[in-house]
Formats: sequence, structure tokens, C-alpha cells
Amino acid sequence: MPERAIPKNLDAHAARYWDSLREHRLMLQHCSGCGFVRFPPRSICPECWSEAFDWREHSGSGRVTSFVWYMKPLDPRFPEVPYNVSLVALDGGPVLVSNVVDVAFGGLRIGDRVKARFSDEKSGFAVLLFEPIGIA
Amino acid sequence: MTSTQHLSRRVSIVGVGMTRQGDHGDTDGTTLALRALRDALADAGIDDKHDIDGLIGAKQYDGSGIEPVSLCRSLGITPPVTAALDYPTAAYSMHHAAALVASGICSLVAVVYARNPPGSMKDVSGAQEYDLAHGFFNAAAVHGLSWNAHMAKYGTSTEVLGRIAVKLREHARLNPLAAWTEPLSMDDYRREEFWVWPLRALDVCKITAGGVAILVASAERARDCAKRRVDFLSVGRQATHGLERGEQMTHLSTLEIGRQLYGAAGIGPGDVDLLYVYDATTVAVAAALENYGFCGLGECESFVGDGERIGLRGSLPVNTHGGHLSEGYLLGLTHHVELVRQLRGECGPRQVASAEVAQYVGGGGIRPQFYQAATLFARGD
Repeated sequence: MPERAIPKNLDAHAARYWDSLREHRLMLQHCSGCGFVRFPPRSICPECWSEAFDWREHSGSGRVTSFVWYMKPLDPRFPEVPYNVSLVALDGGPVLVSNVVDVAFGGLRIGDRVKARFSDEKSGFAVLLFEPIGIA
Repeated sequence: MTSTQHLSRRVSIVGVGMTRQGDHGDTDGTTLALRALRDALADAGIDDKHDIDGLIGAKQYDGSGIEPVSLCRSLGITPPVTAALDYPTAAYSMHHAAALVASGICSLVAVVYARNPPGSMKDVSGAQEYDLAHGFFNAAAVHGLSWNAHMAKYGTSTEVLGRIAVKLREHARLNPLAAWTEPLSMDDYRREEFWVWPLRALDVCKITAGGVAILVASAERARDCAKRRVDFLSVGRQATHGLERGEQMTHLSTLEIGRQLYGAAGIGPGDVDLLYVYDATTVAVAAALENYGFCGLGECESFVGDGERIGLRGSLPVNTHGGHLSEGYLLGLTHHVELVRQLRGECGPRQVASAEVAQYVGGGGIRPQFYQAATLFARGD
């Protein structure tokens, strides 16, 4: 997947998240008011209105809750198929959209345990991917 | 929270018009829109285009679509109210029109959409981009994520999706305005390669050229019109959280909408004679059957069976015109043309016997989790 596009016009909260990926750490915003993990990172808690928070490092472990496989090169920016887009429920945290790598078409199952892998991109950013760590 | 959204026959559809769907050569969208609107006014028996006091267009994610002030200038009218919703789908446009009429702001609202995009009948719709760091684009992927979760949770398969695609094609073959009328079998479906697994290209609607117009008026104004009214009974709609909350992966919407819809109208899904679903993919149809209680959660595959139940002589005919998948893709508005014509009894070889209540279920694309809306309509006087 050669042309991964990082979101543009990042606000301070999003920038902190992407900066952490570049350091190969997964940092999540924990609300100081109620403990809710805000993702995407936000100024105000969608649960309790608190504006206070702290950043905590997440282990990067989680579970696949669904996935699709792109089987045709539908977009010139993503010519290498098949690849999957997966939903990963982080342990104790939010669900993220990502790709599970090192797994062939047919080899991924809902419920599979995965862990974070940080992929350094030519753009200077790093992207959060996941890799299998065993069968659920 | 349930709010009362009971339109109680105070607002009606009084006229509909549409062009053939498919290839329109070099004809521009404005021309297609005006042809459809001319036909809708004639259908309603309204001689004076200046009676239109509200005009609602629609825009796609890329900004294309019907810009309402520009369309009014092409039509030579200056109505008090113009509006264009961003990718509204017919659900929101029709609710907006109904609200304008119910509030007394307008008495005759035209909902108009048309386009002649490049790639008509070839390119798939739903080209929106969700997350380009991970190659996540196109609505088919959102529906595919939902269907994969459904298969894992309930043991369903893609066979039910094929049954839906095949049945909608059968309906389109009886529709002279439909873009796709070549025969389609389950074998054809099974042979098709996966596109965004678990979906095949036959599961995903393609863009088409065409125009459509629907006239919405007060029940009082409707009495002067030429044809039988089709009345709004109730509406339901609900925003949802994003994918990050991990909710409702198998639903594509919230079950709350059905409670609003039927609660306000005082009826249940068993009273619905015709179902129209914004079929961006076959998954949307399967999801609607479950979300609104036509069958239980996880039971859509056994409900659809060999497909006859959702056919023209089944207990719940679905997308009797062929839907987006086989008739054409104009944001769900042509579904409304069809439900009006069915409730009036104008559909010839594809007419469903004694239909009185029709339900529309519309998707609305705000990324990445969809939210939905629905409307109940009934045959009027």
C-alpha cells in the first residue's frame, strides 16, 4: 500500500496522537473527569463534558471485530490487492480502523487477537497497523 | 429518546416524474431534472410552474448535483424557499419537504435530482473516502464490514445477498425505465468474483444518468390535484456514534428508528405492504428486514428464503422497480416515484395487488458509520 495518506490539518490533539505513532507508541487520551477513552482525541469529553485529560500509553493489543478484503484494484492509490481493512477493538479501549498485516486472504477471523505494528512511511509519519498474535 | 414525528396525512405526494435511468449521452443534468419536473407537474395536474414555492436539490460528496437556485433560473421561477442538502438521500430531502409543508412555510415543494456523470452504468457509487491511511474507501466496505460481522454472529452467508440481487433484477425486467434488464441468476451471482469481500460487484449499485422530481403538498392543496394522493404517515430518524464505539456492527443503523416510525403511525411492520430500501448494496436490504422487525435479528436469510417472499407476489415486495441495484441510482428518489405509482395502482405488469402502506428506508452517508431514516406512506383519496 504505497500511498498511505495521513489526515491533513491536524488539530493539537490529533497531532499528539500521530506524533506518538512516529515514536512507535500508541498514546490514548483518557478523560480526567470520567475515565472515558476519547478516540479520536478531543478537547471535550463526549461523555461528561470535562476538558481535562491525560495521555496514557496503550499496549497495542486488541481483537478483530470485523474486516473486509479489497480484491480488485479499485483505486490507483491502492493497487496492491488483496489487502484487508479491519476493525480492531483495543483492550479496554476504542475500536480502530486499520489493516492486519502478515496474514493472507482467508487467514483472518473475527475474534483473532492482534498487536500493534508501527509502519514508518516515506512521508515521515508512522501508521498504526496490526499483526496476528494467535487464534482466539 | 422517542419524539413524536406523526405527519398524520397532513402532507402528501401529489405528483411524480422521472426519466429513463441509464445512458443519456450528452444530455446535461439540468435538462434531465427539468424533464422530470415537467412530467411531475403534468402528473399532478398543475398547469403553472410558479405554484412551486419550495425547491429542494441535493449534492453529492464531490459537490456535484442539483444546485437549487441555478435550477430555478433554468426553470424561470423565483420560489421563496430553496435548499440543497449535502448527500441527503431521499429520506432527508423528503422529510425536509414535508416539514416545510407541515409548518405552513410552503404549500408546494418540488424535490428534484438529476445527473449525467461520467461512467454511467459502469462505475460503482459510494466513492467516498473514510481513511486513506489504511485504504478504507467506498460505502461497499462499510456494508461489507457489517455483513462479515453478521455472518460471524448469526451464521448467515452471501447467498441471501444473491437472492436479493436476483429478485431486484427480476423486478427491473418489468420496468421500462430501468437501466439493467438482462436476466440474472443465482449461478451468475455465485460465479461473480469478490470485489470487496464478502461483497461482489453485483452487490453494489452503480451510478446512472437520469432525472427525478417529486411534488409534496399539503393535503388541502392535494385535493385540487389530478391523481390519488399518497400521504405521509410518520417519519423516524436517528444519528449514531462512530465506529470507534464498536456498536451495532450488524445493524447499519439503529433500532430506534423503527420504534419512532411505527409508534407515531400506530401500526407495525406487519401492516407494511411494500418496502423500499436505499440499496447502496444488497446488505442494506438484508439489514432493513431485520432492523425494522420484518423478521428477527439474524433471521434475514431464512426470511428471504428463495426470494419469493420479497417478490411482487410475496408477503413483502421489496424495491418493486429494481432499486438502485437494477433500476438506477438517484439517491433513493426514484424509490418514491415507484411507491407512489404502486399505491395508485399504475404499475402494469409489476403492480402489487391492493397495496395501501409503503415504507421507505433511506441510508445517509456521514462517515464512517451510517445513520438512517425511514418514512411511512399510505394511499390517500
